[in-house]
Amino acid sequence: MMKKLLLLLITFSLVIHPCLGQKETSRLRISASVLPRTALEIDSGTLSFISTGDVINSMIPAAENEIEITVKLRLKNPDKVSLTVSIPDDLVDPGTGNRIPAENVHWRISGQNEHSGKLAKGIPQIVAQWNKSGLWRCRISFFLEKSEDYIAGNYGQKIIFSLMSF
Amino acid sequence: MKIKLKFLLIFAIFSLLPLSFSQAQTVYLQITPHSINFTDADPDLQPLIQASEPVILELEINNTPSDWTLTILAHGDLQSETDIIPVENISWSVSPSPPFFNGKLNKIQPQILGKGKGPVKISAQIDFYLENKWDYSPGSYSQLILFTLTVL
Repeated sequence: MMKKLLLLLITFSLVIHPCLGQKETSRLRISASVLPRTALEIDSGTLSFISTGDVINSMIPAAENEIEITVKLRLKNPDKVSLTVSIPDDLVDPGTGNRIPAENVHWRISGQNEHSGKLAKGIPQIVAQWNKSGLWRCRISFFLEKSEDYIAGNYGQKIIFSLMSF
Repeated sequence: MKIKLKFLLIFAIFSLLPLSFSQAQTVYLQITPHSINFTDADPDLQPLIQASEPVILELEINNTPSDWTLTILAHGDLQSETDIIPVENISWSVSPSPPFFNGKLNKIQPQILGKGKGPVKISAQIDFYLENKWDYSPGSYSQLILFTLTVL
């Protein structure tokens, strides 16, 4: 009995024991900080409404339609971000001072959340909203109402796109 | 008969103990520092964030002709109070290569960081990188990574 036990011990020590795997472990803690952040990109810097004398359509589409807007957001839950468009004043011909009312410029968002509106002098209009982090794209088109009242000229104004969180 | 038994007993003790003793000292794994950090950055300007400092790994295996494997496994995704960053978005580059290999972290399957055969004494530098994506929610994220050195 004793002999068998010893033989078993020797077998274990010579054959099995060295084959048993040895393990060593070590731990590393990884941390990351992510801060709120936004970015706004528009693929066109200008909008041009060119009157063609066409009497069928009541709107003059901007030559640059559709304009792609890219919004990049890192939003903390439950924050929301709105994309607004605003115009500080009417369209003005700097040579003559003649005006086209800002409210005669319409916009339309296309895609899943399709909707439309009008510019309003000094009042930002909400064109899209998001409540999640990510990279979002939308397409916006602009149209100028046709009118017999416009006096021939070259009119211009700035349109401002803004991201507002609340 | 008794002499034979005594001989066997002595042989058994002397053959078992030295092995146990020497093998207890053969496997050494040290990692410094014990924590690293990825600081916030603009994803457009810095699509890949390098960790605050490299991890230095020291590995020593003596008295064995056996194969060894070093694996790396994340306990889970990087976790904040309310959100996660998939741990697969963290990759590493390591030198020297071989016996070490570049890769990406995984929370299910241990990834092979290095492997070899026989005695070795080596230092390695591991640089960790986080894919910097816009869809991460703001917060402070953290997770533990486990290094396991196995000598077969």
